[in-house]
Amino acid sequence: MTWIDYPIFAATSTILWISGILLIYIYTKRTFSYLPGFLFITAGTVLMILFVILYWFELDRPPLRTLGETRLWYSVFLAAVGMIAFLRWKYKWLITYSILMSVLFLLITYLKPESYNKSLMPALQSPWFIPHVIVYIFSYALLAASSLVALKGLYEYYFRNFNMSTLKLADNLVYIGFSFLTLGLIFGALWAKEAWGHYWTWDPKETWALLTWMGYIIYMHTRTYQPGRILAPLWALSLAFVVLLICWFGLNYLPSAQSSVHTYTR
Amino acid sequence: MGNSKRELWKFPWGYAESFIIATGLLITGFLIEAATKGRGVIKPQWPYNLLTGLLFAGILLLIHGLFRKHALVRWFSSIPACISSISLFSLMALMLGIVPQNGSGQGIIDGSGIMHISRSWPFLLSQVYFLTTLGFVILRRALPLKVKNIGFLLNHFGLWLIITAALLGSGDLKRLRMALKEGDNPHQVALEEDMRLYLIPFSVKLVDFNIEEYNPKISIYNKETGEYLSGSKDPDITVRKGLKSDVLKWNITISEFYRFSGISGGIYEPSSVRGSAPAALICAVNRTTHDTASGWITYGSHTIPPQNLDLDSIYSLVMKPPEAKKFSSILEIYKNEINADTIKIEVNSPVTVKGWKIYQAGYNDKMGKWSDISIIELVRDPWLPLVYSGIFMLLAGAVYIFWTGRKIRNEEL
Repeated sequence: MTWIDYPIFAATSTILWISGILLIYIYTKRTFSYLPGFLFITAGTVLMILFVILYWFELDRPPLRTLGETRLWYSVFLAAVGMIAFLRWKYKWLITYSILMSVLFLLITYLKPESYNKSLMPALQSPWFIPHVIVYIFSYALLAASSLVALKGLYEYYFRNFNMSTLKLADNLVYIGFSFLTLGLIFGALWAKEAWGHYWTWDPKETWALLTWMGYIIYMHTRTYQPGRILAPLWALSLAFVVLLICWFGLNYLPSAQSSVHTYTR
Repeated sequence: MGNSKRELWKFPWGYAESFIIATGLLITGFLIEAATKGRGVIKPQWPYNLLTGLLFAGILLLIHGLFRKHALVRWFSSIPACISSISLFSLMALMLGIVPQNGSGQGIIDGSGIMHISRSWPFLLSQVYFLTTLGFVILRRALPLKVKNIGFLLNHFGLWLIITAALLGSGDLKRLRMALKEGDNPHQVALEEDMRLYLIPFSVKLVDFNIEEYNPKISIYNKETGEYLSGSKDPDITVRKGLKSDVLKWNITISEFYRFSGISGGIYEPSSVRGSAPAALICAVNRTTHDTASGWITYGSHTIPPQNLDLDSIYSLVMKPPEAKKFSSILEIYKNEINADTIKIEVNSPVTVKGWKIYQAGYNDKMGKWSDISIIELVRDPWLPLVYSGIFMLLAGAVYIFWTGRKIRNEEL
């Protein structure tokens, strides 16, 4: 299993996923009507998980180091989050969104793999490596879904009828996503103490991770303070995701990034 | 923003007053920074940092005990105060995250403190404001203690403890460096971050420094543009004997590879002497013209010159420096004149001696594999247990949030 097999796996998963989504929209009125579509989506997700595992064996290290590799995990988790949310709440639009985002990330990874480097630098060879990154990616997937809910809420507010259940769904996603974000931040700090001598050094990536964390804290507190307010939490949630994206992708373009220990791709 | 017809500064205060206060603190901070010519905050050391901490906690407790019903104290534990303090703290963090932090404290821009935010006055004030609002809300929930508030307290007190202990402890934090050479006598003097000398309570001798390297990679180099072609979809090839690979318009075969080799009379042979280098015998055939180029390539070392293979007038095949897989040092630690303990340190596995954690930090990059110098870092952070207590509370709090989800919020309605 090498990277050469990636397009076949990604294309097959994409076909399974898209067919599944279409099936969910086609069969809406019968008993177990979602089952065929859901099975297709499950098959697509399992296939991508299989690819990740086989690729892991091939590399002889977890494929978590480069941006390209983290995108692969993101695709898998986003699909999984969409599936779980669908099982629990039957939101068709949410699973559609997660699947389309997963496909988009598979496509970006195909066009810009950035994943050829087989070697793993010594600082990354740590038992903290896998939990740190996986917990973060899982959290990012949930928070991305929550920000989409926020955008949907804003759309409803300005152009349609806004329903409070939208913010309650956002809460569900944010609370779970935030707890994983906290775990990621803490694992990072504990790891940094072992690898670099101190748990917090205001490295740009750390700083932006903290800002992301703060962003979601602001959202949660505006919700607690005035649960009836609609616009402030919706905008806070949308903005928090922008900070998250800067932390994840945008950091390399900031002047402060010169000194970051997190820019492995260069 | 509450009731917009309400008069400003009339209790209860809302977002407007909270953000005015936050802005006031920001301006005050920068004024103090400018007045002290950008020298930053001088961190108190033991036992003054402990006294500062106790005094701060004591004042919070006292005010809470005496005036908890006063509108001002109520405001301190209100959400608008909370959000304004998080925003101020985040604003400072935002500056930290954008502006390169290498300021020395000289010149007009440096004098403002934005090049060394983490030790500047506005940052300190933002943290004190944050810890004050957080402190009052903790006291309000903690006294009297109720079971249903446990999750809230784990998260909030955990965070308060982390920031307070980290802030106060930074005065006692020591991060020292030592460059050790194989065969040298034991060292007892290390360098502080500001290059001052520091005497540690034991001495260290480097017995052996070791690097394990990955096999080197080869890449195609454009002699006209001076760029590697590895940025495109063509990967670098990790060298191993017998490898066949198609890169651009060439079929490349690696017929021989020596992990360590020496050169004599233009011929590479396996060798394990100091200064040996990885070398590969490569044959490249152009698929269209069938032109063949073959020969040895090496990245070289401090004794062997690098050797590339020209494919045509533009492209050449180049070996890149091998990347370190693992590096480690065997050290002897002398706590007294006679007895020594032998320890091994490696990246990600430091060893603790007499309250100092000893880390493998680096080596002589120019010598790579053959470095006989090991750079170690010695860290002492007596406040770490307190910070870790806070971290584990926050960890438990995160699990609590995951478990209960938005039930927390419903209770607070």
